[in-house]
Amino acid sequence: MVCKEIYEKLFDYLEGAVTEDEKKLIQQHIEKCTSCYKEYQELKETIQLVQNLPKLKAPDDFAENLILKINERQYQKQRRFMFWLGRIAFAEVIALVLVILFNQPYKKQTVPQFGGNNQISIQEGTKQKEIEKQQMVVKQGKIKEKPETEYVSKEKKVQPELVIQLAYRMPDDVKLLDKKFTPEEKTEGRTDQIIPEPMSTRPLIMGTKESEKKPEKAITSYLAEKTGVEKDLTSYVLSLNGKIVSDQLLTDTDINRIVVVEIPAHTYKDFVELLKERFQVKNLPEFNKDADLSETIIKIRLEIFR
Amino acid sequence: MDRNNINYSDDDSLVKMIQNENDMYAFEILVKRYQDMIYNVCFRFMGHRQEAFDCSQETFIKVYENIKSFKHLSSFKTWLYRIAANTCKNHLLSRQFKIHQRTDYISEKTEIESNFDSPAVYFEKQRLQEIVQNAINKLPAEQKELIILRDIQQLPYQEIEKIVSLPQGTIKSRISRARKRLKELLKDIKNGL
Repeated sequence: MVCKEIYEKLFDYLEGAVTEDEKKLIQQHIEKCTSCYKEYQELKETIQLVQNLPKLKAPDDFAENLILKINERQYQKQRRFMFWLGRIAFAEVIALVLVILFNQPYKKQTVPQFGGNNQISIQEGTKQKEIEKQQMVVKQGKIKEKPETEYVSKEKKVQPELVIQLAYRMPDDVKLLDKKFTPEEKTEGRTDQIIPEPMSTRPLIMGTKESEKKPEKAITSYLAEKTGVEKDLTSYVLSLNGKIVSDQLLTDTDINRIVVVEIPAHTYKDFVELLKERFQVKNLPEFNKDADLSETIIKIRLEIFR
Repeated sequence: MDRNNINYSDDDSLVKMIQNENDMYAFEILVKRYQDMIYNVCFRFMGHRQEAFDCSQETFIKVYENIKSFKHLSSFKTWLYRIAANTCKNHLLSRQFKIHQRTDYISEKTEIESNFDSPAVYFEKQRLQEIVQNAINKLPAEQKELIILRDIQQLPYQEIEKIVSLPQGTIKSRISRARKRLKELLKDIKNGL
C-alpha cells in the first residue's frame, strides 16, 4: 500500500471499519512511514479530544422552566385566539347592522317645506324618484308649488301676511260696454264662465240681430283676459324670485280670486308696480321699511275683486 | 389509558400518552430523561450556555407542540435529535446569535466532571476543552452537526442517517473532512497559544 491509499483508509481504520487483512497492512505501513504515522496520531488525538469533552448537565430547573414556558405559550395562544374571535364577532355584528340598515326598503325623510305648515315626505329608493317626478308634474301643472330651493333659502324670515286688494283692469272695449250693464249683472255667477246676458238688454224674442250679439263677444274677450291673470301673476312672482303659495277661485263673493304669494321683501316695490300694470290697486299696505330686508320674505295675500 | 399498565421507561408509551391525553406528567418524564443529552448537543452546537439553554428549551417546546404529528416511524430519541439539530442550525443562522457570538462566545467555561484534579491539571483540562470547543465552533454547521452526533454523542451511523436524512457514504466523507479540518484548527490554535 502507498501513502495515498493509507490516507484514504485511515478514517475506516480509526472507525474500526476495515477487514483484518487491511488492518495488518495499515499497521505495517504506519510503523515504517513517519508522515502516515503522524497523520494517524493527529487524527486519533483529535477524535479523542472531541470524544473526551465533558458531558454537560442541564440546569436543575430546566423541566420546571420548560413547563412554565409551555403554559405561558398556551395562555398567549388562547388570548390571541380570543382576541381574534372577539374581533371577528365584532366585525360580524357591524356587518349585520349594516346589512339591516341597507336592506330597509324605504325610509321616510321629512323635509320642512317653506312656510313651515306643511311637510313633504320623500321616500328613499327607487320609489323616491318616481314620487319626486310625480310631484314635479303636479307642481308644474298647477304652478302653485315649486321646490322651495328654487325660490329662497330656508333660513330667510317670513314677514306676516300683507293684504293687497286688487280689481281687474278692464280692456277699453269692455269699459265701453260696461256702461250698458249694471254692476249686479256683471258680478253674478262665476267669472270664468259665460256671464248670462242681462235681462234688460236681452231681446224678448230670440232674435239674431248682429248688434245684439256684440256685448256678449266683448264680455267673452274680457273673461279671456281675466283668465290670463294667473299667467301674468306667475310671471311677476317668478321674475322677482318669489313663489305662489296658493291660488283660489271663489264664487258667490265679491272677491273673485285669492292668490297668496311669497316674495323677497326688497322686491315689494317692483311687485306693486307690476301689479299696477295689470290691476287696479285698491289698497296698498306698508311694512317696516327700516328693517333689513335682504333676508326677509313677505307673504302677500292678493284679493282680486270682481 | 390505565396508568398502572404504562411502561414509563418506554418512550413510545409516554409519547402516546401525550398524544392521546395531552399528559403533561408523561411529557415531564421525557423531558427529564433527555434534557441533559439535548442540552449537551445544543451547547456543543452553540458554544454558549444561555444559547444552549434557549435552544434546548425551544427544542422541547417544538416537541410538545408537534408531538401529534410524530408517526413513530423512527425512535423518539432520533426525532428529538433531529429537532435539536435543526433548532440549533436555525439559531446559528439568526442575526442575533451572530452579534452575540462576537462578544462572549470564547470566554465560555465548561464544567469539569472530576474534582480530584490538582488546580494545574484542572486549568490545563479547562484550557484544552476551550480549545477544542473553539475549533468545533469554527466548523460549518453541517460538519459540526455530524461531529457532535458521531464523536460527542457517539451515535451509530444508522441512527445518524435517520437524523440527518443523508446516505451513510456522504455522512462518512463529511465526518472525515470535518475531522481533518478539526485537526488543522487544533494545530493552529495550539500553535497560537
